[in-house]
Amino acid sequence: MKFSAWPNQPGEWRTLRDFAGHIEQSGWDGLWIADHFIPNQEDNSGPVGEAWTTIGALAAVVPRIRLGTMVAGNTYRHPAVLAKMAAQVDEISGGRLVFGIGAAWQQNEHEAYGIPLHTVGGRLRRLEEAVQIICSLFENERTDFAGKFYQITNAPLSPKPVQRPRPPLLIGGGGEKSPFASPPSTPMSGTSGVPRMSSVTRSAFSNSIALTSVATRPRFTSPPISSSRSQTTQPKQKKPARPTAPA
Amino acid sequence: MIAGPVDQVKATVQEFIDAGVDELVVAIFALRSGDPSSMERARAIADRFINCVAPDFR
Repeated sequence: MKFSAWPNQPGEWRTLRDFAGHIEQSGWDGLWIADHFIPNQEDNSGPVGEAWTTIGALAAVVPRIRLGTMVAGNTYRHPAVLAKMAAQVDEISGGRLVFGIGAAWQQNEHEAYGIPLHTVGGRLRRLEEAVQIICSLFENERTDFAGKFYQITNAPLSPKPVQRPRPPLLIGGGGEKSPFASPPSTPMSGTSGVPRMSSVTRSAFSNSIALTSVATRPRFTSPPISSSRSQTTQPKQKKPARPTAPA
Repeated sequence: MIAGPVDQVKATVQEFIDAGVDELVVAIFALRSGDPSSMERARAIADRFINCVAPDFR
């Protein structure tokens, strides 16, 4: 069993760097960074560090543990740009990136920054296309993709990620609407070998990951560990998934 | 919410393992901007888990 830590982003680089160093030295296996811009609360003025620049910096100064995004919001960046960023982080880290990506959900930051949130179905369909584009850019010399939401033409990605054929993927979210649980539906053109969402996730998910949280204060006098089971990905005993509902 | 003594938390971790999970991501949301003592709290939480629970599953 691997154990990874997921600290909040206090917005102070030195604080997070020092905490990551402690995690590395105390025997944890990985560290995850959330991808958000502002606090998800009515007063959204508090500091929040930016995920990808932070993880790139951590990759340079923390040499052992795996580093991942928990998870990158697909709506925030074009998938080709995101693939480029991820490949660079994988290179900086010497192949320690775990590429977490999800449909995105935090309404207040979309509104504040003028980023379209779309419907749940619309976000999931964009995610499905994005993952295909990202994986193809990682794996192929050139990618053509003509989706409903994204189109790229004869697109290279160099340098490639260190991890071949690609960094491990973690798809955030789940449930019946997740494309991750649905049959492929997006037509592709051009490049062969672009994995569709279902095959990507099934093949890339060599591991199953569970999330839990540890309370900041002891709740019991006896060894004070407290946690909540907030989410699991791809539980093995889950009922069979149904096709994605229309947006 | 799962809370309790170390043995109870270990039992929960074992449930994850039995369900096929092989990596557990532990949220430690204790760092606070402008509060140097929050680092110590976050470290203490991390240490408590990695030293008291994790060794049984390595």
